[in-house]
Amino acid sequence: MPQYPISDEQLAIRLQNGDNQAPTQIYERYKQGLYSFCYHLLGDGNSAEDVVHETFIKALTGKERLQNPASLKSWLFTIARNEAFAVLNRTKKLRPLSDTDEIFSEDTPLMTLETNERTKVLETLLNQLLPQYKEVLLLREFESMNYETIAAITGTSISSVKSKLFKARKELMEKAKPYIREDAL
Amino acid sequence: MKKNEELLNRFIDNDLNDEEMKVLFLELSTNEVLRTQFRTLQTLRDGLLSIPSPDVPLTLDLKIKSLSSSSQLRLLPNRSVLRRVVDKKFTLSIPTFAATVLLLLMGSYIAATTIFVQKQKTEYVYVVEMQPVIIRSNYSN
Repeated sequence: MPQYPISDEQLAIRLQNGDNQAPTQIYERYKQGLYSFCYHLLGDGNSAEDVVHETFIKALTGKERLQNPASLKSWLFTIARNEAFAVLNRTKKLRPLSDTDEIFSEDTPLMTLETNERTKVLETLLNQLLPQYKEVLLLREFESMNYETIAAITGTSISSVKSKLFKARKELMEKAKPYIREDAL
Repeated sequence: MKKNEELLNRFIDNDLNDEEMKVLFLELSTNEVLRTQFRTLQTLRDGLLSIPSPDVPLTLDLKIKSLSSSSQLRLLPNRSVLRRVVDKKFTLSIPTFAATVLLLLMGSYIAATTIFVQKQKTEYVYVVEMQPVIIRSNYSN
């Protein structure tokens, strides 16, 4: 976890007190994580850009609604997650996306592929997961969030997060089976 | 089996206590299928973590930095409402459309009868009849 000279709590308090520098500092701190989360969840850069933009508009106009300044990160991710799901609902993207079969032959082991190709396969496999599974996996693996924080962001219980993570990984393993040969492990 | 898979998942997340850890390692030492699953899970995880983060577009940087000025922040709620209307592609239900038209008609009627019509002014003209004034003089040329 990166160490910052100013804590999230201090930054959030500055934002709430009307410090002009605070919005830019918060953006710089979380732009990569938020954009990456939205990008993988939506599978589309333009939509991700719109969602992150909308997230910051909502955060800046509704800053007084942040009751616990220490939970600035999970608050931002909650807004982004809700915005992203609104987009998914609007565009009816709640179904899994395209199949990987057309990209590579099923005999290709995952770890023997070139890095770019491996990334492509994994991104496509990730896109095939249901958004409800994908979001918990993204928050856990890319943002290293604990179960409790993920539960707060997704508005579910800790046991539901554990269950979704388990199902997400199981589904990913099933989908990746053709790309993983036992002798390649 | 499912219990072991769950333990495996929670091990990946560093969520096991000492007792559960013992149970899992014992199982791993004897269960080849579980060992393969563990390796697959690790491979996938490493693969996921090796996916490079997408670059944040410069246009987003510019948009967010322009939000910081307080004059724009005052306008934000309106922009957001406008955006929602745009996102819905201007779809209006028939009752909403009818109510909007009715309001517009009423508004224009009120405007036409109150604002654009000048108030009538009453001017009073007093006509006084006067008798001719005859001036007589004793002087002659």
